[in-house]
Amino acid sequence: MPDNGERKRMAIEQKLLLQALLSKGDLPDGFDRACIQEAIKALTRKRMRFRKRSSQFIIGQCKLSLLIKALFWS
Amino acid sequence: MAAVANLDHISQLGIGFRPELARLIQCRHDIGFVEIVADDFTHLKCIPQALRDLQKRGVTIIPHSLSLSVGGADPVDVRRVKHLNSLAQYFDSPFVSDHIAFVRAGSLESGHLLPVKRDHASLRIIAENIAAIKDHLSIPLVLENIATIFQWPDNQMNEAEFVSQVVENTDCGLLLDLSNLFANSHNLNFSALEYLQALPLHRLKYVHMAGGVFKNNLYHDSHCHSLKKQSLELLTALKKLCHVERVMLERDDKFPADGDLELERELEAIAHA
Repeated sequence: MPDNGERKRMAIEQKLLLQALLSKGDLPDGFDRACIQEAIKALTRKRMRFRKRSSQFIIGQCKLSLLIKALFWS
Repeated sequence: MAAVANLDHISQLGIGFRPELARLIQCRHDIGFVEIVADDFTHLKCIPQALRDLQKRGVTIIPHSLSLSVGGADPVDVRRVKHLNSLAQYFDSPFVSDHIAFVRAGSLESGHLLPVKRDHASLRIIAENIAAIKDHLSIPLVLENIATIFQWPDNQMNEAEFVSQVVENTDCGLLLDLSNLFANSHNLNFSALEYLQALPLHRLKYVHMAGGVFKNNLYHDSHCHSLKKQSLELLTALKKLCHVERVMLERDDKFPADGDLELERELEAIAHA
C-alpha cells in the first residue's frame, strides 16, 4: 500500500508537468526541454485535429437538422 | 466479394472500430475482433447498428478505455470503470483494456496519454488504482504500453522493467503496442528487441499496430499515417518469441480515400508479418 505522502507527492509532480504541457506553468526541473517542446507541439496538433473533427460533426448535425426541418415544412 | 487475408501465424486479425471504417470492416470476413473506444460511447443507446451486426456475426468486441488514468495520483473514477464494464457485459467481451499512463491531474485534463514516473512509489500507487478498478470489473483488465517523446527525470527502471512489474504485480494482461514500442525505442534510444525479450509474454493478450510519421528526427505515433516497416519487423520478431493470439490495426484520422486500399494492404502486411 502506498502511503498518503507518496500519492500527494505524485499528484503535485503530475500537476506541475501537465501545467507545463498545457503552457500554464513552468517546466519542472530535470526534464529535457527540447523533448517537452516537441510534446507540446504534438499535443496542440492532436487537439486541433480533434476540434476539426468535432466541428465537422457539428456542421453535419446542423445540416441534417436543417434538412429534416425543410422536409417537415415542405 | 469479401476480402480475406491468409492468417499464417496469428489466430485473429482485428481493427479499431471507427464509423469511417465500418464498410471496410463489414466487407472483411477475416476480421475476428474489433476494439471500440469506450469513451466514444457514452451510453449503450449510442452503439451503432454496424457494431451490433458485427457482434451477431461472431466478431469479438473489446472495449478500450483512454480515461481510467491508471497511472494517475487522483482516485479512480468509478463511473468510468462501471461504464467500461457495462460495455464489456453488453458485448460479452473477454477483457477490457486501458493504458499504463495518466491523463489528468486535479482539474486538468491532458487529452493525451502521459508517461508515469518509473519508480517504486508509482508501482505501489498503480497497484492500488488497479485494485480499485478491479472491484468494479467483472472481466480481466489488460494494460498497454504508451508512446512518449519525453521521460521523467529520476526514473528508477527502464520501461520494459516497469511495464513487466505493473502487469505481474497486478495480475493484468498485456496489450503490446508495437508501434508505440518502435516510437519509444527510436525517440529515447533503446533496443526494441531487448525490450520484447524482457516482457512477460505469457501475459500477452493482443497487439496494437498503427502508422506514424517522422518529424524533426522524432517518430510520432500519429495513428493517421501509413504503417511503417519497423513496426512490422517487430511483429515478426515477436512471433519468434511467442504465439500471438490477436493483432489489430489502429487508424484514427486521415482515412485513406483510395477505397480503403491502403488499410487493406496494411491488414495484409500484418497478417503475413
